[in-house]
Amino acid sequence: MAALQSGRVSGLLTLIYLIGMVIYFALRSRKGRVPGLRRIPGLDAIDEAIGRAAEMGRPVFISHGIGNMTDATYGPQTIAGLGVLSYVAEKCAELGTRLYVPVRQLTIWPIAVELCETGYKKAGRPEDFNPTDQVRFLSSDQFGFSSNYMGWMWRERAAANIMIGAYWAESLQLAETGARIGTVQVGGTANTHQIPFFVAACDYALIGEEIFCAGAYLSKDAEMIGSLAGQDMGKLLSIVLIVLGVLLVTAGSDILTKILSW
Amino acid sequence: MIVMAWYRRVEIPIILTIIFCIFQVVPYFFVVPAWESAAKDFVDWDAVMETFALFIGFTTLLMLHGRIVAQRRRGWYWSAWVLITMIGYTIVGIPIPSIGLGKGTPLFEAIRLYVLTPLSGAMYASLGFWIASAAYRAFRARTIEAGVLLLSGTLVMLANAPIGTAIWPTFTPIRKWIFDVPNMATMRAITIGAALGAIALGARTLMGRERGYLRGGE
Repeated sequence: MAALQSGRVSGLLTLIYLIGMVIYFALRSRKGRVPGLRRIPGLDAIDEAIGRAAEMGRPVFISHGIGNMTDATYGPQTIAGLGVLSYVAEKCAELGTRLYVPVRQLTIWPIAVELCETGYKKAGRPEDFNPTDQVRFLSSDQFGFSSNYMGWMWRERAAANIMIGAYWAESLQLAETGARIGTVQVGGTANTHQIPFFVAACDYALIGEEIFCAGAYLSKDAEMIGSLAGQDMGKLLSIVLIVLGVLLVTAGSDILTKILSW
Repeated sequence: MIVMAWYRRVEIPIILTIIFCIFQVVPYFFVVPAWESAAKDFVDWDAVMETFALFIGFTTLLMLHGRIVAQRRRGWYWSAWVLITMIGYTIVGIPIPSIGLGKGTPLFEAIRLYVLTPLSGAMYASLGFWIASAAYRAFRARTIEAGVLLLSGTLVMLANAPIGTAIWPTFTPIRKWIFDVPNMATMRAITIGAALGAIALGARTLMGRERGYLRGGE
């Protein structure tokens, strides 16, 4: 066992189990056995919000958070947010709604531009897209970004504000500004300390894991939906371990703790 | 056109993602010194790319605000101010200490200490007011859930305010119970769910199915 890092064996086994389950259910869905997916009102509301913006002739703001893509904790949230951006860009292009994307991370700016450009091309309106005007790098400073975002949203009288990704203290500033303007807001993050702010100030909030299934939910891709069932198998394992752990610790045994820290 | 086509294929970023992911994951679980070194190098590459990306930021800001100023769009003077401060601070940061420019020089530090830091602090401090207005919105007990939130929020506030504990000292253990039991349980559930979601997203990305971030899956 010298080749394995001490204390990470159970983590490796859990990771193998989870990835195995995700692949198994994804492949099962490919054969037509697609599991049912519960409704997520926050994601359903995105189309409605874009439609409302089109009727009002006001823009849609969408942000993928302020985190980068490389961080192990916040990267997946940014990727999830970019997946939603991809969907929203195409919808906005189809309906002729103005789309604005505030960006904090410089390395993500070209990716966001590329996503929007593709969305406009897919909708058959590539000429409507202006990269520097619509996808704006605001500031790499947290509050420089948030103050710019708030001012921009206020000046343009945004009709919809979609925020899905990693957020920190600026979450409440952005959500409250949107609420004051009267935008339809969808907020979602996995940063636990910011979730209450989105719940309080947004019309729809995506809590934790819900943001990670946004890509599957919006794309309606059978394999991706199937992979969510694999994720649920991870939850099942967690529940079993928690219950088992509670029982064993109550009985005075720390065997499970030892196994998990192996 | 053929040359354009091959490097724009989404398979290439997916393959690169898989390669770099393996280089990060393997040394986390296995003792492979050579891989550890490679993994560290890749992290350093990221820092280098971030630095190069500064030029993207500078250029896009210059293009955007330059155009706003040139076209005298609404609020153009704010854009002019952005350009003045950005170019000005860039010049101040050029490392020529002999004429008082560069990081660590009195001028550079003065701008950082007496302009940037207070502005940032003021923005952070304003959060208190944002919380007050959000709390007003959240604490309207129109549903059972909002009612529970109102009750628990009021109890925590009373425990935090000196007058609350002066009236009834038991507010402190009540606050502790709220934090340690229902709040902790919920936080852990959300954290576990989010971690599983992130792993599943990672698996889908490595399988090449999660393509939303890759030119809309095209």
